[in-house]
Order: sequence, then C-alpha cells, then structure tokens
Amino acid sequence: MIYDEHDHTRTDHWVSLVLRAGMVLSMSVLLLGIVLYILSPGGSPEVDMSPGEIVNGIMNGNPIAVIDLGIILLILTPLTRVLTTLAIFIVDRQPRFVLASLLVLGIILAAIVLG
Amino acid sequence: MDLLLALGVIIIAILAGIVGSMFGIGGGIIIIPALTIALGLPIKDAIGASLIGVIATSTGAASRFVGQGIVNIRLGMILEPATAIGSMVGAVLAVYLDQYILSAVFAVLLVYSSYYMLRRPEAAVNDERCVEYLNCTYCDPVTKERVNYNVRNLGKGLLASFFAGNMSGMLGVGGGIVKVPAMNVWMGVPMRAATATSNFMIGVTALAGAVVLYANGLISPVLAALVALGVFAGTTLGPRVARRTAGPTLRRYFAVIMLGVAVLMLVKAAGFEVGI
Repeated sequence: MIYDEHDHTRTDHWVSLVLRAGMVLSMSVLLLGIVLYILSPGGSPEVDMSPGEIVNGIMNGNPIAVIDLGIILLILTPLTRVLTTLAIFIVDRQPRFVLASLLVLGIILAAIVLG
Repeated sequence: MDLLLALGVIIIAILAGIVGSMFGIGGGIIIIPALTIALGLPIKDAIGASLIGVIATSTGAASRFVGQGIVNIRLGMILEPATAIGSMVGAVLAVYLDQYILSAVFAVLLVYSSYYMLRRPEAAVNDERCVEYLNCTYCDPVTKERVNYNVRNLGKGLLASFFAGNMSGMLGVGGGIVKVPAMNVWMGVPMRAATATSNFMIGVTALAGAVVLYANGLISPVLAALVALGVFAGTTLGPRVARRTAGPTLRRYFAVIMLGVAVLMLVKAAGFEVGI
C-alpha cells in the first residue's frame, strides 16, 4: 500500500471536523450548565440522573441535567471519532485499519459491559 | 462548591490542559494530585474529573494537531487496540500487584528513558525494515520544512502501547508518558508527531473508563464540568506554544516532565499519599 497524500488530507479533514464539533458542542453546553448552576438560587443538588430524568431536567432548566448532557456529549466525541475513522477506512478499502478500528470499538464495548 | 475552590479547580485544569496538550500526556498526572493534595478533594471525585479532563485534552488538542496535519492517524489507529487491551489487563492485574513496588519500578523506568532522551539526539531513520504503510509526513511549524519520516519496529511499538495501557490501568497514569518515548525512540517518529499522535490516542483510552464511572454515578458533574472547561481553555494555548517550540526542545522538556513523574512515583512508593 503506497502512502497517498490525498487520502491522508481527507482523513485529517473529517477527523478534525468531528473533534472540533465535539469540542464546541460539549463546551457550549457545559458552559451554559455552569452559568445556570451559578444563577440557580440556593444551588442545585448534584444527583445521579437517568437519561429520562436528564431530558426532563433540561426541559425544566435544571443546571445539573444540562451539565450531564455536556459530559455525555464530551464522552461521545472520541467514540464518534473512532466511528468516523472506521467509515473512512471502509470507504478507502483498508482492511488492516478497518480491523484496528473494529477491535478498538469491541474493546470499549467489552470494558463497558464488564465494568 | 464555593467560589475559591472552583477558581482553584479551573486554574489547575488550565495548567493541565496546556501541559497535557503540549506533550500528549493527558494531564491526569497533574489533575489528580493537585485536586486531592492541593484542594483536598476526595480521590474518587478527582479520578472521575481527571478522566473527563483527559478526554477534553485529547479532543481539544487533537482537533488542532489533526487540522495541522501533524497527527499520524494510521499509526494511532494501529496502536490503539494494544493500549486498550493493555489497560483492561492492567485494571485486572492491579488487584494482585503491589502498588508500591509497581510505582518504584515505573519510576526507575522513567528515569532511564529520560536519561536516554536527554543524552541522545533524535535520529531520523531510513531503515529498510520500516513499516511502509505507516510512513508519514508533516510540515514543521518552526523550521517550515516538510518532514518525511519512516516508522519502524511496529512490534516493539505495539508492546510499548500494551504496557502503556497496563500502567494507566494499574496506576491511573502512564499512557502518554510511555507511548511518546516509545514512538519517538523506538519507532523513529519525530517528537512533534509523537506527542500529537499520543494526544489523538488518549481520548479513546480514557473513554471506556469514563463511561463506566459515569454509568455508576461516580462523576461529580460540577467538578467535571469545571475541569473540562478549564482544560479546553488550556488546549487552546498548549498547541500554540508547541507550534513555536522546536522539536528537540520539546523533547528535552518531555524528558524533564518524565523526571517529575518519576519523583511523584518514588514519593508514592515511599508510602506517602500523592493521590495516584
């Protein structure tokens, strides 16, 4: 397999885009959550929330629910990045790297299931 | 959380973001001891916030370094499975191994690697045994020259990545601090590309741990949010400083950071609480 400048820059472009989007999204939501937290009268209790409670909480302007969403967005960023590289390697037909991406996804999944 | 404490957390996170993004080491090594010893926060909260901080460092730094074409994405993707498996094995082994002895051994290893990096200049390799599909190129922002480099010793690199995962699984530190020298010294990857590629990888290594902690309610939201925001601020600065720093200088600073981590590990081995 010969190194290809064009493939290389395209991969860089998409990966950079995904990472930047993840950063901007999670940062804005986290910032909003912190501002709401500071403004909330008497502070907000830091309780553990289920996905449903987070959705409800965001609708009610609960700062902790907004912060939780920001944290989830941040955690999802590297996962989306792996999925992006996987997609690019599939399109470019590079079995070695498809395998590596799948292996990483599998290990992450295993760690989550076992943990 | 009172205002002074929040301010302390943000300052620590900004520093961790700068140093972590400059050197590809995540910054957990700064966040955890600083939060626990300097601010007196519980270790459990510090670990969760630190994992979120590592993901933020990786995201913020890699988005810039990938955009500048410095990250070797293929090399990162090939090494990532070894690191991930290593950290799982490490987490299991941690139960059986003595943390103090482990810290001492790790410290000795760091001192040796640091000595090696300080004594020997970086040598470009034109090895026939290089792994052709991993060879890469980037434009150095300081010298303005295009750097083409060959990657060799993939086997050793995979082993080092596995070991790096082990260390982070067992001690909670050591991902980047092992991977960067391994890529640089063994695999022939220039320092700038090695640190950028490590930045790219660490987010994925921290991901599984972060999901597990989050699902178990072990991530304190406000603390984690402050750390993430501070780190993001830091990662806007770190890569800029790195851009102005010559590769060999970056390498020397890295060696000094390794010595600092070694000291921390020795303090831990001597039985003092350092939070990691």
